[in-house]
Amino acid sequence: MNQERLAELYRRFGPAVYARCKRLLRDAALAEDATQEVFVRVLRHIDKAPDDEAALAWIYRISTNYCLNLARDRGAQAEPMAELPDRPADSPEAALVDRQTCLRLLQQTPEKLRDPAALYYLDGMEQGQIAKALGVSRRTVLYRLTEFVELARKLLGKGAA
Amino acid sequence: MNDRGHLSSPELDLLHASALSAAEKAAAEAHLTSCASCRALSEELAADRAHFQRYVFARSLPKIAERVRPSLLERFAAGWKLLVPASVVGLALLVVALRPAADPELGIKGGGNLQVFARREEAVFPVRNGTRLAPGDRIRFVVDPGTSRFVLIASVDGAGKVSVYFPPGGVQSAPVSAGRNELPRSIELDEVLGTEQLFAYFSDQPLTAQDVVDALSRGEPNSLPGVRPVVLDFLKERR
Repeated sequence: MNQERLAELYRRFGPAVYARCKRLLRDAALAEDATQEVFVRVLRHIDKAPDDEAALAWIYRISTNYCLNLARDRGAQAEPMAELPDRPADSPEAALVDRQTCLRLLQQTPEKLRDPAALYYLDGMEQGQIAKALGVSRRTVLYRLTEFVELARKLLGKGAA
Repeated sequence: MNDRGHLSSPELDLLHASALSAAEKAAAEAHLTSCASCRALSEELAADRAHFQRYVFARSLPKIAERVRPSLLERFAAGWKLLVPASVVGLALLVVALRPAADPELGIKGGGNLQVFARREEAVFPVRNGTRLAPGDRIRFVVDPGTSRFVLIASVDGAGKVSVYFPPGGVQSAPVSAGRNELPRSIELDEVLGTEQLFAYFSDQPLTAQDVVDALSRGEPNSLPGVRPVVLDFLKERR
């Protein structure tokens, strides 16, 4: 019976987790391993799982944080700042449209800013949805996104230097 | 669509999980025809989901099961529900209710149900999710179509190959009478090892076998309009 429940849950949400991991890690084998780790985390923290519409965003957050930390630790995607694209330092939002640039910046971003930034820039979610997913006010989301853009400006400026 | 004129990740995931309403699905698909960046993401997502369903699911499920303590899984037994966003405009909600499967009978509300039995030498036993079978075992199906009139049973084996098991050699779903039906003929399991998934499609109108094969080949078993299959997984390994 328990195995059946696990299989059902994995069948429903595993594809989204795997696709997310593959998108972030750009490697099928790494993504497969990461999918297992993420799913075990999802199960371990099930008590914290929201029982409302933020559940999918919650699974994205666990996946994103795991994969970005993995990439940072392995050095698989973490590139020296000097290799960030040479972009005008006064247009960080334009740079964030590029997925790979955005990923590199997120790897160097504190989790407090990373969560809303990933949901906004990577996942294209609205600020109101992000606020609900993170359990904070929309104003807080806006503040953290602004902070992230400022951080991105500094990092890009350093990379362009 | 978000305020930047693109589909969000939840919208794309729900689109590929066939979990958007008809109106949302139509709007998303219309957007995909005109937006190259969303279309590229959608195609990437479809390929990754298909890869997961063909290969990753079978390989990784046993490893996850080993690592998860039974007490954690028991929490699911309490009927925990996940509600995920159906769209950025907050229209519909997809409700995934973790319901206990009637064991060994699997079914869906308002649809049909499926029982599978295996024969190994002289022994006959029911096949449940996770049952370990072996090449050479023979399986048979018993179905109750509920309010539906037709059934088609297909399989995705451990190598990702799709086969139609019932009707054997048929080009479309077979009609079945109301109540319990023991389907004729049995299937002898071949040498391909790994997790094999069975999909029983109950419908009011016959489905073409090719449509079902195409949907399963894409890794989108729920993509046939108006039909959700009953699914059962078993593990095939050498004895």
